[in-house]
Amino acid sequence: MSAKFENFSYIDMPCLGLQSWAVQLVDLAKNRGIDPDRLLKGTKLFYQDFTTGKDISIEQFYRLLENCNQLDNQRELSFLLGSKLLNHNPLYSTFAHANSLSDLKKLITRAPLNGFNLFNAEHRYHQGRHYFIINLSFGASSPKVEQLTCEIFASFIAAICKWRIGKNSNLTFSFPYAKPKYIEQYQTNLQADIKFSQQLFMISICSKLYNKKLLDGSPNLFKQSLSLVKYYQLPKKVWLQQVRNYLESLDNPSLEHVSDHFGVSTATFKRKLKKHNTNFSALLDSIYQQKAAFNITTLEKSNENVASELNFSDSANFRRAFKRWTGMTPSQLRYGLINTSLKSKT
Amino acid sequence: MVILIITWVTTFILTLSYGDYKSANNIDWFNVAGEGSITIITQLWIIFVLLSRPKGRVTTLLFTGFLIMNLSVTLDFIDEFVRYNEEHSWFDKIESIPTPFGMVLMTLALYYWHQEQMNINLQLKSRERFYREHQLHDVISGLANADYMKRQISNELSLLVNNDQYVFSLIMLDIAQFNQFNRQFGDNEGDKLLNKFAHLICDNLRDQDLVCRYASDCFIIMLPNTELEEAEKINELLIDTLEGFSFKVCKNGRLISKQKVHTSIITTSKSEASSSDKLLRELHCRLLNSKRAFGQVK
Repeated sequence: MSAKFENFSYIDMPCLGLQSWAVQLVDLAKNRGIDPDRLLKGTKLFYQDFTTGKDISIEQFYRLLENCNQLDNQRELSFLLGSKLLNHNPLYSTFAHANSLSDLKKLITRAPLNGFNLFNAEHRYHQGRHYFIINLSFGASSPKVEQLTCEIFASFIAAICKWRIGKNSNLTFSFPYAKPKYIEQYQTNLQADIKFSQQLFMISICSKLYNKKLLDGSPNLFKQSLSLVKYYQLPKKVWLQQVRNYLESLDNPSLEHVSDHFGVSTATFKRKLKKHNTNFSALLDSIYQQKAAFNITTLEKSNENVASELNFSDSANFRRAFKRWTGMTPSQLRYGLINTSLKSKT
Repeated sequence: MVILIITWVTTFILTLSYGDYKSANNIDWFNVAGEGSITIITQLWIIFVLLSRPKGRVTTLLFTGFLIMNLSVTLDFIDEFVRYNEEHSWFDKIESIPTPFGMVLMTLALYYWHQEQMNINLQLKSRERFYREHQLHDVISGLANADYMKRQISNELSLLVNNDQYVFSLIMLDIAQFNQFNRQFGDNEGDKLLNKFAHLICDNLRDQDLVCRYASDCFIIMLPNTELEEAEKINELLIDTLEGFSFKVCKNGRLISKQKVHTSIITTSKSEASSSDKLLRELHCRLLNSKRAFGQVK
C-alpha cells in the first residue's frame, strides 16, 4: 500500500484555523503595546489581512512565534494564547459539554480541527495515571519555536482542566528543554507539577480525575455537538507525522523503503524532510529516543526489555545508541530520576 | 515643533541673503563635519525632549534653552559656507552670544526637573525601590516585573548573610477566579482590573516595600526588614482593602465587588536563607495549597 503524495498536508501549506490563533496572538500583543507590524515581520502577512479570513501556513505561524520570542518582556503571550485556543473553533461546544476528560482525548486525537493538527498526542496508561506524549506534527523551525509551541499546548491543557474539573487538576508536565528564566509564567499559568530538561514533552493526569464525571457535562448536548463536528471536513493527514508513525511501525526502516511507501523518490523524500527542518536519521533517532525514554522512566523497564523492543541485538549496542540520542546512559537517566524525586521530597 | 522649523528656516534665509558664498576650495571640510554633527545632534535632543515630556514649565524652559543653543551652533555651521560683507560683519560677532543664555535657561530647567523628579520618585517609591530600569517594567500593571523582583530578592538575601538579626518577608497574592472574570468581561477588562489592583496594593504599602506583577494574575510584595507577625498584619489589611474594592466594568457600568484574593506569606532569616528561585517556588506552592484548601471548604 503506497500513500498518495497529495493527500497530506505539509508545513508550507495553508492550515485552517491557524489564522484565528494568529489574530489572537497579535491582538494580545497589541493590547500590551506591541506594534502588530513588528510581530508580522517576515510572515508576508499584513494586519489588514486578518479581516479577510485568509488561511495561513504553519511556516507563517512559526515565524510569528519566532518574532514573539524576540519580545523579552512578553513571555506571557504564548500562555495567554494557549488558554484561548478554543475560541472560534468548532470543537468548543464539545469541550463545554463533555462528560469527562476522556471524552476529550478522542476529539483531540481523532478530530484535530482548526489548528489542533499541529499537535499529535499519543495516549498511554500506566499504574493509575494517563500519559500523553505530545509531538509537534509538523516539527518546529527552531528550538525556541518548539518551546513556545509547547507552552501554548501546555497552557491550553491547563486551562481546559481548570475550566472543566476545577482547581485540583493534579497535572504534571515534563518539557524537553532546560528550565527557562521566566519560570514564573509556568508556575502561575500551569499551576501544576513541572519538570524541565526531560526527554519528551509529556502531560500526565491521574485516572480518577481523567475519568471523573463532570457535573456540568451533558451527554445529549455532547452527542449533538459531536454530530455537528462530523460535518466539518477533517484536515488532511500531516505528512511528517505519518512518516513518523510509519517509521515506528517498522523494524529496521531504510530510506529507500520509506520513500517508496510514500510514493516519492529518495531525493524528494529527503527534500521534504529538510523542508520540515529534520532529516531521516534525526527523525528516526527522535522516535527511538522518545520510546526508550518513556519505557525507562515511566514504565521503569530494564535495559534488556527496552533493547529487545527496539530490536537491538544486545544491550551494549542499545546503551551506545541511547547515549547518542539523549546524551546520557540509560542508568544515568534512571539515577537522575531518583535523584530529583529524592530532592523534591526533602 | 513648528517653532523649531520656523527659527531654523529664518536663520538660514537671513544668513544666506546677507552673506556671500565661499568657493569650494575655501571651505574647511573638517570644521563642516564637526560643526554639522553638533547641529544635527542638538536638533535630535530637542526632538527627544519634545516627544518625551508632557507640556509644562520645565519642558518650555528646556526647549527654549536647547533652541537658543542650537541657533548659535547653526550660525557657526553656516559660517563655514558663507562670508559676510563689511556692513553685516556683526553677524560674525553675535554667533557666540546666544550660547550662554541658552545654557543658563537649560540649567534652570534642569533644576526644576530635579524638583519634579523628586516629587515623582516619592510617588513611585513602592514600585521601584532604589533602582530605575525601564526595561524591567510590566506594561499592564505599570509595576516592576518578575525579573526585577528576583534581583531585589537576591539583594535582600545577600543582606541576610552578613546580619543575624535581619529578616524579610514576601507575600504572594493571586486573584481568585480571575480566568472566569476574563471569560465573562474580556481580557481588556481583566487587564484593567490588574492595573487597579496594582495601584491599590501600592497605596496600601509602607515606603520601603516593593510590589511587582509576577505573572498572570499573581503579584509579589517584598517587605524588607519585616517579621512574620508584622507581615501577616500587612497581609490582612491588604486583603481587606482588595476585597472591599469595587471594580466598574466599562461596558455596562456594572460594579463588581468582593473579588476574592488568595495570599501566601514566607519569612526568611539567615538560618533558612536559600536562593530566590527556591523561595519563589516555595511561596507558589503554599499559594496553591491555600487555594486548594479554600476550594475544599467551599
